[in-house]
Amino acid sequence: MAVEAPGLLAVPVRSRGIGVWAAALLLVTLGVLAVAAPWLTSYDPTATDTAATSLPPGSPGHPLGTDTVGRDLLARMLYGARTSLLVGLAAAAITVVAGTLLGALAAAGPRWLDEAVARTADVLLSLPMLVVVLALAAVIGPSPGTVIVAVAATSWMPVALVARAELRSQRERLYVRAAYALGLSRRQVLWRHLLPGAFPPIASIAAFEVGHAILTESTLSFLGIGVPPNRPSWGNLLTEAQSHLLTGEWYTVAFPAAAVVVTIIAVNVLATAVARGEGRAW
Amino acid sequence: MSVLALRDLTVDVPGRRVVDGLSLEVGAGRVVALVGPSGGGKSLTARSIVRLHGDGVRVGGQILLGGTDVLALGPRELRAVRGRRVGYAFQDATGSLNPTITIGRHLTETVAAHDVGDPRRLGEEALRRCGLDPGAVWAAYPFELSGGQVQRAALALATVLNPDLLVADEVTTALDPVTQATVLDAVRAQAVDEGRAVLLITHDLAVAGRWADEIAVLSGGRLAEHGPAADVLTGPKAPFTRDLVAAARLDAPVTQTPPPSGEALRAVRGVRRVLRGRGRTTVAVDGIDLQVRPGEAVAVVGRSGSGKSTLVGTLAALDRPDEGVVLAGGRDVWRLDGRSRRALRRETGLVFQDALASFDPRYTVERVVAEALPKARRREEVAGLLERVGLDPAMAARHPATLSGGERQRVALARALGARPRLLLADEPTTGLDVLAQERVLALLGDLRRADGLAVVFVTHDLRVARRVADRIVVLADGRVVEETPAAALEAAAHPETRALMSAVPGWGVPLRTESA
Repeated sequence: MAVEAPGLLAVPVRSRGIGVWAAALLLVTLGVLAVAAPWLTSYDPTATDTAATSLPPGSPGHPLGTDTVGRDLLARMLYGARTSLLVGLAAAAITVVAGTLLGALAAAGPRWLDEAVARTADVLLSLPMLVVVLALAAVIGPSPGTVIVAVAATSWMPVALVARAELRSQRERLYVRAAYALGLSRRQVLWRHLLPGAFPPIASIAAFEVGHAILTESTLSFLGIGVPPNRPSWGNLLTEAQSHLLTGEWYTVAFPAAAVVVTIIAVNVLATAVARGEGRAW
Repeated sequence: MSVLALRDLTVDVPGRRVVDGLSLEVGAGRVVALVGPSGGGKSLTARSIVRLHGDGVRVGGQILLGGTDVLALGPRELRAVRGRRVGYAFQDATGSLNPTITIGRHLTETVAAHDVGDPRRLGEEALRRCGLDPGAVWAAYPFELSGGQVQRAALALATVLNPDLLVADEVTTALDPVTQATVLDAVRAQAVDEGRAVLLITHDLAVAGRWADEIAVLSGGRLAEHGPAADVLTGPKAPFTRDLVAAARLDAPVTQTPPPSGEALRAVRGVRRVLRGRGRTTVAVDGIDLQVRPGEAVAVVGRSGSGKSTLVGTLAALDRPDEGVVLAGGRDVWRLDGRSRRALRRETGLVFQDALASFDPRYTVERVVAEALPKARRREEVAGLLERVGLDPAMAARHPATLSGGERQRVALARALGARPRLLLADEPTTGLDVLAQERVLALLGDLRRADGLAVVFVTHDLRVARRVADRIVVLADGRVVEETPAAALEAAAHPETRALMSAVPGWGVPLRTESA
């Protein structure tokens, strides 16, 4: 049976099966763990302990083990989740809001604005994303803010183009004409009918953007130009772990990598559920 | 032996049995019309003959095609039956053809798929049988043809392999009567000239009466009545058929109103509107004068493409004319500021032919109707409005997509009445509804006019409906008014366009006429 849960913008999220609930539960858990990090571990994620270096998972006091300089991996994972989720969600939120706004302006505004947005998006899409991000990061300097700006600047295009196309096709629908016939203003029509109608495809892109942002944060941190190395993030953990791959300390790579993969899959499962629930009468 | 025999056919959709034990035979050279209300299982029956009924639909009983049971066939044998032995023509011809390939390629592909001869020769023969000039349409894309041409091209495609049986599923529902007549003549020719068995699916009893040999009436999933067309129409036995026949007659005018007086509620003067599409411009409305007085009902009649809907958009103050003025209470609406114009639109009710498409697909019935009401008095008024249009207020929580065509149109009327308009613009509100649903909508309009003194502009391509609802009939052709006549004097109308519309209406005048085979 379909379960109807209240969704964002009152778009019903129809979930079939336990996959969607599991994904939602997982994301909520990750969020809670990140927020509650100081209460869940007594270790400072940056404090070194020469007496406890390179401990394997399951060691007393260090459930996930420690790295080569004796920092507790669980503490680093929890605090890392703060940075990674914050950067990922903030970048994705900015991307989606800015992209939708630009798409709406292009669809509703004068022709030159439409051309400007669409052509800029085309040009940016044709550039290798990593090169642009690298250049931006080099200019502004490494910080979580840089990552957010860099991700937003290089990934708003698909959102804007989808929003533009979707709004344009919605605009031609009969129910939009009916809404104008009821005496609604352009802004009311946009707000009540066009944007909610364009929401499902944007939502599925937004999920992709969250995953993309988390991944880009990891990539940039891995390359040493994202989040500063003294601040733990899943990407930084991977950077530091690269030298351990050959020495048999697999867990220093496996835990942050697993966290990134699981988060991205969960977000995508949720977004697919939103997109699928739309347009059905029963 | 009959070409098609249905034996105790049952069709189940999730939660409901739609067809419950239908037995019917169609012989070679016969046109059998399957008639019934919308949602009565006619199309599902037709589709199950070629097993195109889709997932989730269970079909039981027997479907015998010249003795072989279609329901027992494997995928390969089924493909051999489709197209080769059964041709299927759909209601939405444009939608059933691929817009990216030409008519000729459609025909060639079909012939090649069954490998039965020279595609070009067979294709051109099929087009000619359907009254089309192969030279003109072979290289055309579906969207380049008119509605009637594209439907005849789809018929040619369905019959290109000389199938024993042609299923014509509501092929003329969206067409104006003149075009409808050309298409159904082509359908009938398939039976008379080629000896094909034809199953004609329609909700229009008058159509069945004029073009079919036998009529089978489907009601509640069962056969209510079956017999020669003339007998069913002149002496219907089942109560359901009697209702259908009565509703199809449309003779008595709904209301007799005193001649309207006073200043025009809405008027257009010399309006001209040009539609500019990609690569071509159409003058949709070319200098029309029309005024609507309080309490008056005006029918605007014309073929598809005569400018009726454009005129409605202009009257509703939605579309700005290129020339001419639109007056509301004596004021030029396009000289008003945006706010006053929006207020004016609120005071004008508008309903469309495709009610479902005019509702936001995310909205429930309640939200659809509530949108027309001021915020303060929403909930209680929605229930009141639904009751006024004859719907159960409990329907408010449902989605319009789950309602029948007639119910949807009444929801649209409830919304249009929400702002207590003095003028209602109705753009083909009953086209595509079965006669019973149409009858209820027309009667409702009559009640509203009597109770509220509502002025109505009713757009239709059906002169029977126009005569039924209107005091005055305006006939459009090519964007101009060619005739304007009181409804009572319609029979005396002289313009060739009006006469053409009249003669194309199946069963014009009472009793319904039938053509003997």
